[in-house]
Amino acid sequence: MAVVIFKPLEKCNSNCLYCGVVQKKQDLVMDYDLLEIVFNRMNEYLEANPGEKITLTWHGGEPCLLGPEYFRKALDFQDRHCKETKDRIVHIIQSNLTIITQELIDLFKEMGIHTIGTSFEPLPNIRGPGKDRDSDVYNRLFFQGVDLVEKNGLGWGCIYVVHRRSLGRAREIFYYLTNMNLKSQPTFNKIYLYSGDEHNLNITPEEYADFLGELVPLYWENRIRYAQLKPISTFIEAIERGNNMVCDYSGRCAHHWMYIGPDGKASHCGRSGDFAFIDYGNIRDRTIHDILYDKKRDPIEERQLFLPENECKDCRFWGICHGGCPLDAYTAHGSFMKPTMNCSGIKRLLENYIEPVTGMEVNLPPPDTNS
Amino acid sequence: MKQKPGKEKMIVVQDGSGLEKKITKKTLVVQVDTIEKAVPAFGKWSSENRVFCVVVHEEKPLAEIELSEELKIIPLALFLKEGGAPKTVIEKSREFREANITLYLPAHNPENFTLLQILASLDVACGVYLENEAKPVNWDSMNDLMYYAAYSPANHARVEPFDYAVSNYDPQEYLCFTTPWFENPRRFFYMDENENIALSRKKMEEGDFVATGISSFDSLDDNEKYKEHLTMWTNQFIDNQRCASCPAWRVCGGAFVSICESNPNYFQFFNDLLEAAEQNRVKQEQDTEWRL
Repeated sequence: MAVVIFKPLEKCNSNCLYCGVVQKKQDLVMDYDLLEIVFNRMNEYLEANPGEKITLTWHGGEPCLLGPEYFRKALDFQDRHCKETKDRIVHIIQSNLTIITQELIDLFKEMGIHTIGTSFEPLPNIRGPGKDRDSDVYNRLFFQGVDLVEKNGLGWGCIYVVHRRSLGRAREIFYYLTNMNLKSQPTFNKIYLYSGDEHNLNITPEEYADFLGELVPLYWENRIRYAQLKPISTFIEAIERGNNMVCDYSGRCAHHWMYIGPDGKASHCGRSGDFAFIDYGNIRDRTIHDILYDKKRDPIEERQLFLPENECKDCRFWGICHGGCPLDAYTAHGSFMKPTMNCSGIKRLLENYIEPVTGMEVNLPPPDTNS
Repeated sequence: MKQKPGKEKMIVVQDGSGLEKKITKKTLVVQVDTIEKAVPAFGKWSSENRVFCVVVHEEKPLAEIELSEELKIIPLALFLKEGGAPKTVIEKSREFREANITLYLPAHNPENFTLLQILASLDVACGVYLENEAKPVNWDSMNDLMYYAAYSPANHARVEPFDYAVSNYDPQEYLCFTTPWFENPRRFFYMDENENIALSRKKMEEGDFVATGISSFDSLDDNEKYKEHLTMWTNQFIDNQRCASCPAWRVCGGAFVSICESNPNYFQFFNDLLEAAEQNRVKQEQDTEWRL
């Protein structure tokens, strides 16, 4: 399964404190010619790879700003150019839900979307429109959006970005988010800042681990209630069953992920696209296959052989994190051949919280390549 | 009430409202003010509708209630103000057991908790209710009764609203704790003699209506005022009120904010109720596995 993080626009109706799109201040929107090329490229890739699927993750900016006509056009391009392959294109969308409409929902359903990914912030004036980030206005619109989504029988899942102001409030935020949506538990992601930290929001990997750590006993004692509380549940499942983690920790992102921006620029994933590093050229000029197997990806694959022989040798957590996100490593060290800068945080979460609370012991060192 | 409640919408009417000639082919909850009126009311309202239950708001104490043979065969929810002499109540337990009845006593009187536990142990379906939010409730006693209802290994009849909460809990759905008291804006719609529709008994008394007219009952899902009411819970989240971050939200739903703020044991009760509901669910799943 190839995953395309598709950002046809970098505009947003909100002004969230920690958002990279806001900081970049670009009003780019992909034009219809380029959109048509994207669908042609997907068809070309799927025809050449009959066993493959593509997950097209509509992201932004706020994709709902594209308006119904844009999605209608996308469906039209899909119908025209992907006649035999459209069943293997899986559409996913990430939206803040504040400007979603019935017309858009009808189109999303037509695209086969059953669940909308979103994000939310209970603390005031972090997410919201305008200079002062009016969270009251934002939250009212958000819940109206939720209501509309639920009335249409669609699911919605929520990401929470853990930042400095969240610290010390883990339980309060956790209960808020788990009460807000009983059908799908939140995912707690660490904040990533693209440039500077003028609002003092950044946190260390250790602080992130302590935030999650406070939630580990709550989760463990109430697993029926909180089922899939990510990333805690995924860490535990990885220990219990050897399940693979999400992209950051999978060690398998080398040839599965790609990013397409509003101007057609291709990169490795959403993170590298937002950071504007790792340039794989433009979708106008290159096929999806060429982008997925670009030579620049080789070090990311080699990293999985290099780290177990070097810094991660004998690390009992290797099977959980696989060295972590290669782009994090690159950002911190200028090289892929290093473990993620979050390494200490992952170890802290596992050693100080997950192992003592669950009684499980992680013993997943890299396989011995000599034997 | 031996009928297992479903999810259908019901109109709650007052006997004597004159609506019995106007409402047809609906499921009804009929309210009367003395037990003597229950049988005639059931017969009268059943001719054109299905009567789910007759609710009696009775002034007489339980000890003075006489159940005729006719009363024993109709579904009854008997809301009483007091129990009366326990000895007499116990002596009458066989009568109550034979009837299709749930007996409710108010929560503000501590003696009622003991009497309810005795009744349940004698296999009489019963329950506790909040007669008036202004009357203080001993939430420790409420919790003790809940523990008995949910965990006691000894055979006993159901005790509401605990049995409802424990049996209907779903981790992916909000639970309306007040349903056994016929208070649930998704299930029970109170209609007065002028066909005004309210979403609770209290709202009807206060004249707070969402719609008017029997015909509007069928289109309530499209009624703006009703839809607005159903999304009112989001205000607690938008305003980041304490309820939004409460672990017990999913079984309490912020229904009794004023009580909660003045009594910490209230929170403990709902937290423990949630735990009991989850344990019951685990047990049910294990039982199912064994039967496979």
